[in-house]
Amino acid sequence: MDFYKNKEMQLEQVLPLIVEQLALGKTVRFYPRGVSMLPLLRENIDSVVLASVPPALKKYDLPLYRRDDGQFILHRIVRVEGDTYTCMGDNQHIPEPGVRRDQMVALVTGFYRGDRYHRVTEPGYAIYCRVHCAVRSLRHLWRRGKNWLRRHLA
Amino acid sequence: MLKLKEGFVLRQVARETVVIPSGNEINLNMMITLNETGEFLWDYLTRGTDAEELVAALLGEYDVDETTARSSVDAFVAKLNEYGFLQE
Repeated sequence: MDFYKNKEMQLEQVLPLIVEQLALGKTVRFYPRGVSMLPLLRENIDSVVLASVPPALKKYDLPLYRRDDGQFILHRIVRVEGDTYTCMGDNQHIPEPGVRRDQMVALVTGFYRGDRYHRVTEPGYAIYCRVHCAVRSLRHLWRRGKNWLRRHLA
Repeated sequence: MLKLKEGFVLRQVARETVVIPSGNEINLNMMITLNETGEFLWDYLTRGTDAEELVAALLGEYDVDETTARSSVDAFVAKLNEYGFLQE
């Protein structure tokens, strides 16, 4: 005899609740899925705290947005171009340009690495964002080079 | 004594009854979705109860044997404790 359901609710299902709570000035914490925000966010280990979207978003901000196909994405803004943003996961090298303001659902204001909470205003986080984005191309080249060597020298 | 901490409310979300904290932060991974029986017990837990009363309430309301009711209540209480919903 069960009194509760173990099924996890999808973001799609709880979106009205999220929007309502953010509008009340509250924050929402959840565990993002996937590997696109590695090494910052590890699936099933780290979680993010979301707040409402401020009037202006800037480079290195980490918004939760919704693609036109309905998919929810948590990727970093790597470029601001007028009214649109280019976003990309920390573990990716292909940018997603043209993300609109009206697609933004919430903004990460802090995150838990395991049990330890970090605000996005911490200097260490600011350094991580800048360094990680700056060496992204080098990291990609290094990874491709390693794969090439593995294929041709194995 | 089993009593819910202050600050948890039942909400209808996507045609499901979920328990959410009414504080300043909502943890989506700490939401419990209750079924009809869970909602029934929730009222008891809101005003304060014990496992015996919950078992008795189930036996009075549903067609269930005592062993099943007791083990189900124990599992439910354990889940609520795990999520930090109950007062110490």
